[in-house]
Amino acid sequence: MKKQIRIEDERIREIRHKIVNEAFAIMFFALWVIVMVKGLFLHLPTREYLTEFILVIGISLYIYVRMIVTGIFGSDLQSASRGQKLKRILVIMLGMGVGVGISQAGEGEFNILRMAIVVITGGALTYLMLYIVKKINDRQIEELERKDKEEQ
Amino acid sequence: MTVKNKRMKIARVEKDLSQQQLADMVGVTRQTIGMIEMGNFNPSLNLCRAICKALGKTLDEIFWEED
Repeated sequence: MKKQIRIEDERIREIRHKIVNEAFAIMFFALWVIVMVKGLFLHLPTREYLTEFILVIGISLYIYVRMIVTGIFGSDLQSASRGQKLKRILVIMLGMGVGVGISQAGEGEFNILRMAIVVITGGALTYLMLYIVKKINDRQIEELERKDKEEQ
Repeated sequence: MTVKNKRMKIARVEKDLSQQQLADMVGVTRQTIGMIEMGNFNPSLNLCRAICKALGKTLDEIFWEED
């Protein structure tokens, strides 16, 4: 029996990825639970769970930015209506509001102005990132079309 | 359990190969070959081509839709 050139078993690779993804999801969820419990229920000051908080925000931002840049998040919005885009941005702003609210609950006081600044900044940044990614994609498409025309 | 990819199984049996032997030739596990034959796993184009080469058939003959 002649042996073929070996290829990687993609089913095994998929299962491995799935296991790592699930482990990450468990860890991420656990970090969120720690932040919620320490901030909301125990009313501990932010410095008591600062590490977990930074990890949660940092990981969320990383996922968010990478998904936008690779076109996973936001690609469906390029042809979406204004209402759908607004809904997506509002969801993100709500998430940021919840995050800030939890950290402020730990401090024992709610500063509405600080929350509003963070939420509005978050919304504006989201819109700006989606706009930039759309412009980059449009320019890449124009470049490809121009090259196609030149070749013809 | 019904075999969804009958043509692949028939081609394998015609060559007198077990699932393990075909798996060894292609470079995957026996379970992967079994799951492809059952229709429980969608192989990539590379894997489809490797299977076709091992069985001496074309992609159409094994993986195209049956009418």
